[in-house]
Amino acid sequence: MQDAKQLQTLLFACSHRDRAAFTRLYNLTSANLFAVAIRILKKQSLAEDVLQDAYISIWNKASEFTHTKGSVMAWMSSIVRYRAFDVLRKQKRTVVYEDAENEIEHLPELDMSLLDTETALALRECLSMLNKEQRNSLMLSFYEGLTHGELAERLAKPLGTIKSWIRRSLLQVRKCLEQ
Amino acid sequence: MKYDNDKLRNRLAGEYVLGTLHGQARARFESLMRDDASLRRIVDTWQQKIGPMSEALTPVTPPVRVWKGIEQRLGFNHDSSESILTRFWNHLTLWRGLGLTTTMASFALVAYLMLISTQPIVVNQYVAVMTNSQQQVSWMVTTNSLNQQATIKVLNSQMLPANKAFELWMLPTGQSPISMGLLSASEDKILQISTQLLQQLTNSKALAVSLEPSGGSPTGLPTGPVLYQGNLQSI
Repeated sequence: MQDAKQLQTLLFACSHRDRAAFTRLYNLTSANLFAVAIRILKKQSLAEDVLQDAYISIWNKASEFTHTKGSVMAWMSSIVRYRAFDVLRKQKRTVVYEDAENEIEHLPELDMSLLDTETALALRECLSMLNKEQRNSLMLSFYEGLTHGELAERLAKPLGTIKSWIRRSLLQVRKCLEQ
Repeated sequence: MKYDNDKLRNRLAGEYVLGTLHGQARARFESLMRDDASLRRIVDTWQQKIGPMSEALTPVTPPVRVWKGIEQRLGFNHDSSESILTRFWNHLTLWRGLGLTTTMASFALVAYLMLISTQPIVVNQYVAVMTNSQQQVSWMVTTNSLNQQATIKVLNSQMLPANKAFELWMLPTGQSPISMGLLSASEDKILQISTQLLQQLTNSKALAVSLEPSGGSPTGLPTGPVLYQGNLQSI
């Protein structure tokens, strides 16, 4: 993972319209953020569009970042994820024609050992304390943007069960992190 | 649905960050957040807690066209082509001083454009944000080896005692601090930096600002307290 302090300085310079800092920030973070977009959208062109929109937002909103929003990387990822969720919903509402060429064959893999910064390590530890099914449902919604209904279908469980898994596992993770 | 129930607000904020909240419910939640600072704080807390999960994906380098598109949408492309010409005209002014004719100048333009199109210009740039011991920001310093300048932006005006000056220092590893010049407490400034100093900069990890007698340190080394520091980041 990138040096958190370095990203903070670069983002700060971006808020003062420093283009060189923005270029460097993009070079350091775009591969991580592209993986986030691809994992949710699973289509190359959609993921590219979302990444582009997200960096425009990052440039425009750089001055809004504060420490209360978490790390720079987590803040930037949230911009990508939320934008990707919007696009995903619009896609699902419209009739999507099959576009096999645009489908991505190999999705970026999940590797929990990448969670190696101090805060991420604590999160990894807390996630490992959930039971397998709960953890799985939490991850499917975080990394792929699945709703309760979609999770119920994917995991073949009643909607009520999924809702309570999500509710309880979120609270459990938060409690664990606050200890 | 009632949004004034703390438990419900907390749950929805968690699900907003997690991603299970979608479509209309998500849009409704976002419009509530706009007018509700405490709800935004709850969302920020969830973001701090579970946001780092996104770091667990193996990186995938995006195609170059994504960056090209960003540059185009932000209007960066246009300016960079201008700056190449600006650089040429700056050089031309120099050549004119040497008595070059217009024809020679146009040959020089072709040669120059060929040169810059075949050889990437190596530009070392650094940025440092100076902060005091309370982590309050004061100046942002950016250096550029191409124009040999350090641009100092005042982020927050500082109180400067009478008959004193703020002096900027680079801190090369294993060597004594080297003065880069005096800073203004309230106005942006550009300092010229020699090639030699630029080289020392690549060997420095941080900058510092000390309080000196007006006119700067009489000894060439910091004599007063170091009030501000900032790590140098290559950009």
